[in-house]
Amino acid sequence: MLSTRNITVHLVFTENEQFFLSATADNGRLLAPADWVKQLFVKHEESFFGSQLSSLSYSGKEGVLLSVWQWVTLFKEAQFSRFIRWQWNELGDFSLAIAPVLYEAVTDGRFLPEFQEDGLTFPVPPAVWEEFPSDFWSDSVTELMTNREFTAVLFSLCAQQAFQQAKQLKAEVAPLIGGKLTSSELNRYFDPARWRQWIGAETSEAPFSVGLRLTEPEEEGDWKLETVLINRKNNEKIYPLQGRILKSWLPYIEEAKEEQARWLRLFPWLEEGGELRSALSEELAFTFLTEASEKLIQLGVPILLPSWWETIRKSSLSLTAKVSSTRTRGTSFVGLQALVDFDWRLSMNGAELSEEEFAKLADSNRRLVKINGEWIHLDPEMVRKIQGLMKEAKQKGLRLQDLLEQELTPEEEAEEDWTDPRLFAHIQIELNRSLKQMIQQLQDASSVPILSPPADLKADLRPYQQAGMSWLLFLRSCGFGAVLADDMGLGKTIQLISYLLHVKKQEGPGTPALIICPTSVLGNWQKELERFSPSLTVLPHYGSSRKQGEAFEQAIQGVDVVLTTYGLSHIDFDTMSSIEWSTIALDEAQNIKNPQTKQSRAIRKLQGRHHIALTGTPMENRLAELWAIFDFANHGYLYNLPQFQKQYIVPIEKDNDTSKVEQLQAKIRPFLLRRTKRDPEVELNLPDKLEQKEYCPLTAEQASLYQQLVDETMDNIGKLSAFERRGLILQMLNRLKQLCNHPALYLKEQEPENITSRSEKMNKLVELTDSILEGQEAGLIFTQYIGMGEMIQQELESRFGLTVPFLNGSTPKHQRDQLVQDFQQGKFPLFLLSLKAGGTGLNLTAANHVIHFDRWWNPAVENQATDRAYRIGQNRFVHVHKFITTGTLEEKIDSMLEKKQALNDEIISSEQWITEMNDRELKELLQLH
Amino acid sequence: MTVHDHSPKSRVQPASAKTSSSAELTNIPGVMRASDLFKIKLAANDGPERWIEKINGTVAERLDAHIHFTNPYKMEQESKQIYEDLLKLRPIEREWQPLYQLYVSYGLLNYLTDIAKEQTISQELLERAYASFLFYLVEEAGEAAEEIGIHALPFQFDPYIHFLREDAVSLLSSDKLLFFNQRIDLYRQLWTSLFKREAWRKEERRRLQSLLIEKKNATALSAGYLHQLYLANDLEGFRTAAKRMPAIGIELYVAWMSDSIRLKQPDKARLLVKTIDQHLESYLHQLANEGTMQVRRFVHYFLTHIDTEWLADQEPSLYQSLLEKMLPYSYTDLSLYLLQSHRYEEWAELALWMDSDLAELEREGLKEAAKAAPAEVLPIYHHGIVRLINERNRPGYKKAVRYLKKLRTLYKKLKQLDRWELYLHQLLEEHKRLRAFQEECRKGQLIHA
Repeated sequence: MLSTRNITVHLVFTENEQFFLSATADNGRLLAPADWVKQLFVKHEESFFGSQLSSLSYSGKEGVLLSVWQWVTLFKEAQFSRFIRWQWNELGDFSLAIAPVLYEAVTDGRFLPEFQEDGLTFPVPPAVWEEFPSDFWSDSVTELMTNREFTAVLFSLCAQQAFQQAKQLKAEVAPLIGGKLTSSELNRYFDPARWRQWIGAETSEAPFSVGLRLTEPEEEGDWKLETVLINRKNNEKIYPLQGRILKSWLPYIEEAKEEQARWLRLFPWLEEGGELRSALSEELAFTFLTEASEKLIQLGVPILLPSWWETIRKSSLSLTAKVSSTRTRGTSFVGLQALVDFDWRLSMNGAELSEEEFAKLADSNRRLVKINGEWIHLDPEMVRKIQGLMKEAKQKGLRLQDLLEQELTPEEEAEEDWTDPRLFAHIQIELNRSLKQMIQQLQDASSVPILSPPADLKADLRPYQQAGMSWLLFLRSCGFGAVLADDMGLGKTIQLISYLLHVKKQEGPGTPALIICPTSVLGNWQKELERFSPSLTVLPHYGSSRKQGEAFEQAIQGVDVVLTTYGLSHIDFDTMSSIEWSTIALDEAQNIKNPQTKQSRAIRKLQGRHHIALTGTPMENRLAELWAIFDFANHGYLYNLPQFQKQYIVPIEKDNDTSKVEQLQAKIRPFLLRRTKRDPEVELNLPDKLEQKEYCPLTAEQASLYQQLVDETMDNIGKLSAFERRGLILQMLNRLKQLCNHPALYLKEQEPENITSRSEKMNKLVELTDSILEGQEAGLIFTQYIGMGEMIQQELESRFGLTVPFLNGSTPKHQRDQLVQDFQQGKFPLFLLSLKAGGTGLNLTAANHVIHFDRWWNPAVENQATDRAYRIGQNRFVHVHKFITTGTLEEKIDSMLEKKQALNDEIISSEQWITEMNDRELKELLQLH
Repeated sequence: MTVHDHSPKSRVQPASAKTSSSAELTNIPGVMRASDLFKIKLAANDGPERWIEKINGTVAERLDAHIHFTNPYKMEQESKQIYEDLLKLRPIEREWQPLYQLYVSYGLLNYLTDIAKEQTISQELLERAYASFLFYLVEEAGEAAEEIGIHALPFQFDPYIHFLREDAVSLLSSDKLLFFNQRIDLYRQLWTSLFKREAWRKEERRRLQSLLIEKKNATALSAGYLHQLYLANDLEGFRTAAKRMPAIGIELYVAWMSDSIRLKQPDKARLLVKTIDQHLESYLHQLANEGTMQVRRFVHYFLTHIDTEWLADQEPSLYQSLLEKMLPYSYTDLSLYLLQSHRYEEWAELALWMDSDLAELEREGLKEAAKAAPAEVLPIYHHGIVRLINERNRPGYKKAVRYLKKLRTLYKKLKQLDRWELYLHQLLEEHKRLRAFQEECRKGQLIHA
C-alpha cells in the first residue's frame, strides 16, 4: 500500500530526447518508482500499464524514462489513478496541456511527412500552433528552447515513434522507408489526402480503385499504357479511364485524376502533354516493367501487366556445363585439380539456346525478346556477367573439385547473386558416366571394390581393416587424399602397413613413403613395421645421426618407408621437402591441428603422391583442426582458411547453422573414414580382447641415469660372491624398472616436477587418458610401485580434474569394496590399482581399457590383472595396453618372453632366472640399445 | 461511638458480638452511626438545591482529593464506590429514582470536572484517567434522562427539571477545560431526551446565541448551539453555523448523524454526512498524529455507526467520498462497495493503490472483476506478474506463469491477442537470462520449446 495520497510528479526532458519522471510525496520525500508507477500508468496501455518500464537513476533520482511517444500517450487523456491527488512540476503542467493536442495531430494524420533518406520528418501542422496563444509559444519550460521549438521537436519525435510503435498496424510506412522508392520520389508522390489514406486515417468512398495497365504489342511496335478503374467489389471488372464510365462512378472520377496526377509527379517520363503517355517504346516498357511497376506496387497502386511477366521476372538464365565423354583434358586425370572438358548449354523458361545464339542476342542489346513465341527477359547486366563467366571458365577449365562440390553438397537455394567467388557456383554441371560412377563410389565407401590383403603381410586383416585398406587404395587411384579416423584400437597402423605393401607391389620401387608420427609412438611404428611387414625396409629418420640433404637422398635408396617425427619434419624441412614421396602419412594427425604453427605449415607443404592422415579423435566439432587436416590431405579442397572461416566456421559456430553443418559433412564424407567400436560391422569383427604393446623411448635424463646404473653395477659385479651377486642383480633390476617408469621414482624425489615431460610412459598415459575420456570409456591402470601410483594419481587428478582412486595394499577392505562398487557404477572413469592388491579377486568389468604401466615378467600375473576387466559380464571388447620402454631391459625381456612361450612357467615365474645369467648375458640384457 | 470499631480487638470479635454492642448505642434516641448518616434517604421534596448540596457534601467528605495528585487512576474506583453509595440513598418513591440517578451522575460529573480543573498534573493524564468513568456517568445520566423523558413529567418534577435546565449550560462553560466530550455528550443527552419542550429549547437557543456573541471561539458553546439547531430541525441554520464554527470534534457530527439515522430523519442525516465529509480529512489528519491506531479505531467506529446500506443507496457519491477519505482503513468496505456497484475500473485502481498480491486480490474479487470487466483488470495482472518474476525464485515463476495464462485469456477475450503477443515477446526478451523463468514458460506452454 502506498502511504501517501498526494504525489508530485517531476518531469525532465533529457539530452537523449526522452522524458524522465520521478515523484515525491507531500513532505518532499522521493518515492520509489515501484510505489507510484502503477498509479500513474494505470491507463497506459503502451507500456502495459507501466509494468514494462524499468526504473533507472537519472541525476541521482530513481525514476522511469519515457520515449516521446510513451509520454504523449500517457498525457493525452491524463487518466491516472483517482486515489492519488496528482501534482506536477512546470514541465508536467505543460505536458498536460500540449500532449492531447500533439496526440490528436499525430493520430488523425492531417499532416504530411517529409521523406528523407533515413526516415521521415514531420513538420508541425498549423492546427497545433492555433491551439495556444502566442505568448504560450514564446514562453519556455525547458532551458534551451522556447515552447515553439520544443513542440516542433516533440511533434517530430512523436510522429516518428508513433509509426515505429504502431508498426503492426501501420506496416504500410515501414516498406516505404528504405524501400525501392527514394525519399524525393516519396515526397513527390504523397500529398496530405493520399497520406491520410495511406496511414488508414481515411478511406476512399469511391467504388473503384485506380490502377495502371500495360499491354504488349501484337507483333513489333509500341506498348500500350493506360489508367484503369477497377471495381472494388469485383476486380475482374476493369474500365479504362479514357473509356465509357458508369454513371454512378462519375462523382468519384476526380479522385482517379488526382491519383494519376500523382503518378506523373512521381515519374515525369510517364507524362506527355499533361496526360499519361499511352504508347511506350520497348525500352520505356521495360523500364516500366522492371522499375516503375515495382515502385507503384509498393505504393499500393494496382498494376496490370502481361501475365508472362511474373514468370519471366522470377526465372533466370541457367547455364549448364556438359562434361564431354572424352572426360579429360590435359594429360592426367588424378587429383582434385585435374581439368575436365565440357560444352556450354544455356536455357531459360524451357527455351534452350546455343552458345552462338546467346552471343547473338547479347550483342543485339535487347531486353525483351520473343523466342519460340515466349517472351524472354534479358538483363544486360546479367548477360554481361554470364559472358564473363563463360570466358573465365573456358580459360581456367572445370576442375574436378568444382564438379565434386556440386555433386556432393546438398542443393542450395538458387541465389540471384552472380558475384559468388566460386566460379562454378551458378553453373549446372552435367556428368558423363565414368564420372558418375566415381562419384557414387566416393559417396558410399562400401561400394569401393575390396582388395585382398597383401601376401607379404604377416598378420590377418579383419574385414573392416581390409575395407579400410581398399578405400585408401581407391582414393590413391583417384588422386584424392584420405583421412582415416577410426577409433583407437581398431588398427589404423595395420591398415596403413597393408596399404603400403600394396602400393609397393603395384607401383614398384620409387621413392619411399614417409610416415610422420609423434615421438612417443615412433618406437611402436618401428616395431609394428618389423613385425607385420618384414619385407619393407624402414629408415628411421631421427636421433643425432640422421642424414641430411644428399646423404639423405643416398640413404633412402631402396628404402620403402621413412619414419620421422613432427618436430623433425619441420626442422629438417629442406631435406624432407626435396623428395616427392610416394605416400605421406601423418599418424595422430591432430598434431597439425593448429594451422598457423610453423610445424603445421611445413608439413602441409611436403610433396607426396598421396596424402593420408590418421587420427583417432573425431574432429567434426573442431573446425579449424578439420581444415588443417584436410588441407594436408586434399590441399585447397576446403578453400583457404579465411574463406573456410567465412563459409563454414562462422555460420556453424556462431549462428548454429545446421544446413551448413550438413553441407560440410557432405563435402568431407568421401574423404573421411571413421569407424567406431560400436559400429555393427566393426563390432562383429573385433576380438574380445586386444593386446597392444605401447613402446616408449627413454628420455635423455632416463637414458643417462640408466647407463650410469648399469655401468656401476657391472663394474662391481665381478668382485662379489655368488650370493651377493644375486642380491645386487635383483636390486638393480628393481631399480631399472623404476627408472623405466619415471626418473623421479628412481631418484625418490619427494615432490617431482615436470612429471609428463620426463617420461614417455607418463606422456603416453596422458594421451590414452585423453582418448578414454573422450570416448566416455573407463580404464584400469596397474603399477607395481606405490610411488608411481601416487605420481600418476596426482598428475591425472590435476590435469583432468578427475578423482582417480588408488587401490593398494593399505586400502582397508570396506573401502576397497566401496571403490569397486563406485567404479562399476561409473562414478569415476579411471581406477589405479597396485598389481599385487588389485590383481586378484576384484570384478571390474566397467573398464574396457587395461593399462599395464610397468611389466611383471610373469605373463600369468599380468593376465590375472587384465582379467579384472575382461571376464564374464564384460560386453565390450577390452583393450590392453602394455607399456614398454624401448632399448631397455623391458623390451628385451618382453621379446624373450615372446620367444620362450614354450618355456616352463616356473622358470619365468620369478626373476630368479636372470640372476643365473653369466656376466656377458647379463650385460647383453641390460645394455641400452 | 465508633472507636472500638477501629481497635484491633474488635476485629477478632465475632460478628454477632459487634452487632449486639452497637445495637445498644443505637437504641438511644437521636444517636446514630456516622456511616448511617449517609444512609438517610433523600426525600423527594427536599428540592434540587438540597439534593445537589447533599451530593456535593457526600463526595467532598468521601473522596480523598489527594488521590488526584498522587494516583489519578485510583479515582475511578473510589468515585464509582461513592456513586454507588449515593445511589443507595435514593428516594423511596419509585418514580423519583431516575431523577435522583440523573442528579447524582450529573452532580458527580460536575464535581469531578470542577476539581480536575484545579489539579496541577497534566491534563492529558487526567483525561486518560477519568475518561471512561466520566463516560460511564454520562451514560448513567443519559439512561435516567431517557427514562424520565419517556413519560410526561410529573408536576412535582418542575423545580428539579428547571434547576437542571438552568444549570446544564454550565457544562458548556469555557471555564471548564477538561472532559469536553463527556460534557457535550451529557448536555446533548439532556436536551435530546429530557428538555423536550419547544419553548425551552427556543430559550436555550437564544441564550447560547447571546453567549456566543460574547465569547468567540467557544467550542463547547458552539457544539451546544449546533445541538440546539439540530434539535430544532433548523438544517439551514445548522449548515451555516457548522461552517462558521470552530472545528468541533467530528464525533459529534457522527453522533448526530447516527441519531438522525436512528430516528429516520434522512434529510438531517444527509446534511450531517455532508458536513462530516467536509471535515473528515483534516480531522483524520489530526487524528493520525496521535497514531494510526486512533484513525483505525475511528474508521471502525464510524463505519459501524452509519447506515451504510442507506447511504450507499441514497448518497452513493457521498458514501464513496467518505470511504475514499478514510483509506486505507476503509479499504474492505470500499472494495466491496465498488464491486457490488460494478465499478470495476475504480476497483482496479483501488487494488493497484493497495498493492496487494494477486492471490489476495483473487480472494477479494479479482476473478469476478476479470469476468465482468477484463480490460480494467489488465494492469493488476501485469503488475502482479512483474512482482512475482522479481521474486527471482522458482515458485514465483510458477505463479507468474499461471497468471500469465490468465492474462492471455483476458487478452483473448478482449480480442487483443496481438497486444498479448507483443507483451509476451517483450517480457521474454527482457528476462531471457532467467533460465528458470523461461523453462517455466515452456512448461506452461506459453512458448513452444
